[in-house]
Amino acid sequence: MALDDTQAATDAALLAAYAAGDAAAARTLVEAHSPRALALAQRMLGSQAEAEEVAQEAMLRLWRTAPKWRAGEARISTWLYRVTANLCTDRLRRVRPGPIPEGYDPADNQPGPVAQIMTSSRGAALETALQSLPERQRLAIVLRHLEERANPEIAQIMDLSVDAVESLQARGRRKLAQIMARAQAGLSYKDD
Amino acid sequence: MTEPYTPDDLDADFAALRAATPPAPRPFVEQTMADALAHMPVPKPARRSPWAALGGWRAALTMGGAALAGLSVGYLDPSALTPLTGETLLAYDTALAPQSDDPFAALLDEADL
Repeated sequence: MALDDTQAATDAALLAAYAAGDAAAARTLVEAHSPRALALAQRMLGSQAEAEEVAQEAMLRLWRTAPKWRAGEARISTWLYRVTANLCTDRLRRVRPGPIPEGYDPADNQPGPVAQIMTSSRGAALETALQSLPERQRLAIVLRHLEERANPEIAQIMDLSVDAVESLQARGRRKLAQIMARAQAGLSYKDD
Repeated sequence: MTEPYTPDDLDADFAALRAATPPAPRPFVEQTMADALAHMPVPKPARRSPWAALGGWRAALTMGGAALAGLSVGYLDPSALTPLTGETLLAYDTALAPQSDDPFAALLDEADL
């Protein structure tokens, strides 16, 4: 059995124990999964307070699902990332009036990521550049490069084909590289 | 002049960002834990088996045996019990019974008092 499968089985057993009233199982699940949900939400929303709300809501849904959870059908981590991503999408789109056309994936209107990067460290510069990506590119990139999930799992989380995920990542990486190159030209990062 | 920004640079920056990710704040983790406990299903009491309700399999076996013995005594041909109830041990000769209507006097009489 692969390590991931072992972890998935352990998580499912912990959730079953939680559903049977085991507080220690709840603690293990909270420590393992809530930071992941929080990190994803923070990178998608760019706000710590909103990210905490979203991550807590995602975990709440996990607790409510626990008695009905069927081991082997889904991994808890995949399920939680998906719920978190959907909640983030809801938040990001809530401010936008009217129906959203299919395939609509606009870039954020935050002006001048390069200008913000000028005063940032290299890691923080990338963080800022990430916020300038369209929502779905950002999600695909964050899950792959920061949460270190495999593309087949990302495809499940985003409800897309693996090809579509790879396409989003390729476009996202190109855009990030452009932003970082311009920022580097201004900051001479490589000379650090 | 600076070198061009390469895909390797991007991967290195992702690694730096991963390493710089702070742990989840403890108040957030504790609030999540409090939510978990607040929504934890109440464990149902374990369902007792019929054997347990009867006091375990030993008690059930004893009661079953006693019931079987009682039934067999009821159904057996009484003549099979003659060695016990016939002329020897338990036969009661009515001629020897006290004749008084007063049960207390009969008892005294039987006891030769």
